Amino acid sequence: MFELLEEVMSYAKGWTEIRYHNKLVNSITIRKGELEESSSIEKKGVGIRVLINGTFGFSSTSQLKKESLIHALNEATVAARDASVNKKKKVKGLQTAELASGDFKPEVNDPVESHSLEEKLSLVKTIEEQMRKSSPIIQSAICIYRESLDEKFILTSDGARAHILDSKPEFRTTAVAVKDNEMQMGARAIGVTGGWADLFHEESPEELADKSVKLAIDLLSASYPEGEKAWVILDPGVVGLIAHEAIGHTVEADWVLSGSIVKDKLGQFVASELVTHVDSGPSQIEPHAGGVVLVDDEGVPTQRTVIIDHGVLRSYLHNRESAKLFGVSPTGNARAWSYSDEPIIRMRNTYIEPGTSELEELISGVKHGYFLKGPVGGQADANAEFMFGVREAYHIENGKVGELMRGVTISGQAFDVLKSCDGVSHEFKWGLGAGYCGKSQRAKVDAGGPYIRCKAIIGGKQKG
Amino acid sequence: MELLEICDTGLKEAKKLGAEETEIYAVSSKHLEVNIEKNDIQLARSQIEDGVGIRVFKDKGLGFASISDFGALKQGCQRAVELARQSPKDPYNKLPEPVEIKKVPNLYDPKSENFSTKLALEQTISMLETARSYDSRITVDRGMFQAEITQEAIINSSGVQVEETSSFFVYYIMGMAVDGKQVSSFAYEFDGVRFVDEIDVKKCANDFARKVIDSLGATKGESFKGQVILSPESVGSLVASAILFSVNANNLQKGMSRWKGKLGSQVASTSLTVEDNGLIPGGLGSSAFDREGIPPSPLTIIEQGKLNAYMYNTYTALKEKRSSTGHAAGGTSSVPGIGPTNFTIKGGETPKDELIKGVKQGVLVNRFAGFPNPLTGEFSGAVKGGWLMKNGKLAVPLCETLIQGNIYDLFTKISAISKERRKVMSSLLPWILIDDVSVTAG
Repeated sequence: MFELLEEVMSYAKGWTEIRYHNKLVNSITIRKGELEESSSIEKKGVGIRVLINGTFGFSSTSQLKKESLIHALNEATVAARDASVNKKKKVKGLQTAELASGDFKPEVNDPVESHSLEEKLSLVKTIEEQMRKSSPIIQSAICIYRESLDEKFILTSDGARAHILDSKPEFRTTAVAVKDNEMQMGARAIGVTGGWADLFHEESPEELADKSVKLAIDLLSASYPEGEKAWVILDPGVVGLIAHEAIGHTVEADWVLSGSIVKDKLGQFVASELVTHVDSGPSQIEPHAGGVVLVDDEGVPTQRTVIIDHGVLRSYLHNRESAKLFGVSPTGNARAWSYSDEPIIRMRNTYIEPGTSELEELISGVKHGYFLKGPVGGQADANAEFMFGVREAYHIENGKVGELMRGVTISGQAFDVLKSCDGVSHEFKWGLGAGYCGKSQRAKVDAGGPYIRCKAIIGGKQKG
Repeated sequence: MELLEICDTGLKEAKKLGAEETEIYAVSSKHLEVNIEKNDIQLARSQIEDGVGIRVFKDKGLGFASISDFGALKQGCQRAVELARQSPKDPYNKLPEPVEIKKVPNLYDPKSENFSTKLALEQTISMLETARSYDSRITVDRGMFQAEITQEAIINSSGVQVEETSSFFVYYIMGMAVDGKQVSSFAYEFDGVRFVDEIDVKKCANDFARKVIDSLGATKGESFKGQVILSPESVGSLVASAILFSVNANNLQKGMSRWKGKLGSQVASTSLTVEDNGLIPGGLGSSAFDREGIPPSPLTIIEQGKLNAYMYNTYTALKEKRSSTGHAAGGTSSVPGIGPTNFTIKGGETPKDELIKGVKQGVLVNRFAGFPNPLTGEFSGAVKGGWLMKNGKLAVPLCETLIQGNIYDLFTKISAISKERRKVMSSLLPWILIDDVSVTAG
């Protein structure tokens, strides 16, 4: 493949990046006993990005013939030239870096390819059936297995020459419980970078199914929490969501350049001293995070990027363009979802580092508050105001965890919430391995952390 | 090679490999796109994207494969047949017979063929400059102008053979206002049209600019239970999404919809009438045929609060021994699901400003940021670009405010629907006044 890409590169006129990407996604979905999907989706092609007259042009093709690739290169060149007439602030160049060369693949135990379709089908069928037949209250269930197998060849005119393999399987269970015209659902989802053994390393498919069923049934009799500002204890998944959604997006350099709330705040205290916030390409602390990226799509080897060090803002997340503007090294955050997308600044595995507190100690210190578990999804705003949904909320009264409440939304200004943080536990877990982030294109990410205690707004019912 | 030829080649290939039924859906689209980032042009692109979705049945077992390169058709067919071979039998796995289709007018503008990167750049610059010149505090974080011509074709082994060409221009602009240390909430505006002459990026940019500037000075508001006015955009994310989930025949058959067996029942207040019509000339959701090659039947989903129709594709229709409503949906990389075409909520009698005048204490929700659960109906999320309404007036813009409730319970508490409606891509939606929503201020 490199030979073909190199031949096309010889026609390039300015800085050029040629990226072959084959994304193969195999999925099985069974819902209420019926196979809804057994599919194999291949998205394969070459994306070409050029920088001419300080302006980027992009084109892509799924036809892997030399002539088609040269045509795409020309299209990208013309697009860049045309756009350069209107671009005000020209790109002053890309930051230099030791670009990746060679073969890269993550640690994989028991590759998913060595498990047959028959075995995967049978597992999905058994687990869906287990959920549906576990209780007469369970009316429906869904089980999904999905594996994303990626191969990339990245070549840039300034020296990157990387061949990258990746494997990211996911497993999802959902149970739907119905009683007295009331419907509730319980869901679990896991995802890793790695193989079959890595996917089920922590929880077996049967355990995920049991937990989904139990949650759906328990939620039927749960009530809504009161809407209020309160002390909350966040589990590693929810901490991960805060790390990604509430803080992570505000420190993406493209966002910083458009005026994000953390602009000009490097070196300042933005969180409690207990908070160290990191975004890393390789998996840290625990292996097989779901968002592992060894080399980014600009050919930059990834690293562990400390964003907030004991409360002080230390770094933004960069691609080569923003790194040059800020005069720092690129952090390896340029990512493209498929060959037909251009690399943009994205997170990878975002987390808060573990501290020294005991979880029990954190709980016992709360007079009135909530223990929030299981991230559902979230959004961040320009002013760092975030909102995200949690699957399970438990009352805490006088230091004791009480009844389950229906899923809630929590909100607040991210940095105020982090400044209110007064306890960080020593445990660490990845909690968002089945998660995707959307920012004009998708990206596979993970996030996690310890348990933390802080103050946030809980969306709930009001009297009246 | 023409798309129908590609489909035909795939059909023959799959048959040779042992498929008993085959459907080939091929798409080729030409995109021109210009992106805005950080108040400036970021990147221009020009590309052709191809895709083929291959659905086969063997011994009533399902197999589906998708490819992005027409040259890989044979390998795609092999993968689909291999998957089908190992799938369990399902008696309802059957492809539709052909139904006569009529061309829907105004889906394609011949002028779009000559639409160049330069023209796309002109529109993008115009959008950016209009927003920036509205107020110097405006900063455009991201934006895009895209011109697309799409050709689609479907052939199946039961005789369906359809094709269509359409043009589409879509643009959006998003950002915030920065005033000293104050950063506003994000806002965005978008639109999509079929014809070159309909493109109006200036309106889009001005609407966006007005929104962000208005949201400066936002405060935390009050906690209460009371009235909320949902904007067309938030009606889309809260009301429309719940209705579409509950009338999806697959969700009904799989025990996931609350509206099972409720045809003819009152599910909402009498002011609510909901329709879906995929044959509207020039409609963004219009097409002569659905993802399976069947023409979409216009439906009145809810008539004066009474549930009137569900949406079916061929699989779900067969289970109930009826015909598909032509709502098979999806792209080349998924098995046909079920989805809307042009979704509309009928306008009411009261002008929007009158709705506001009648509210003593309430919140106007311009955008809802949250994850409403269409299965349970529960929603809890943040109000974006919202306003506190006091004594019939928009009193103050809001931040850190959450709303919570159950959308199915609230359907019966719709107290008024505005006369005015707004196009939200392929939907046409009004402002809706609802009672009894919990509002929590930070």
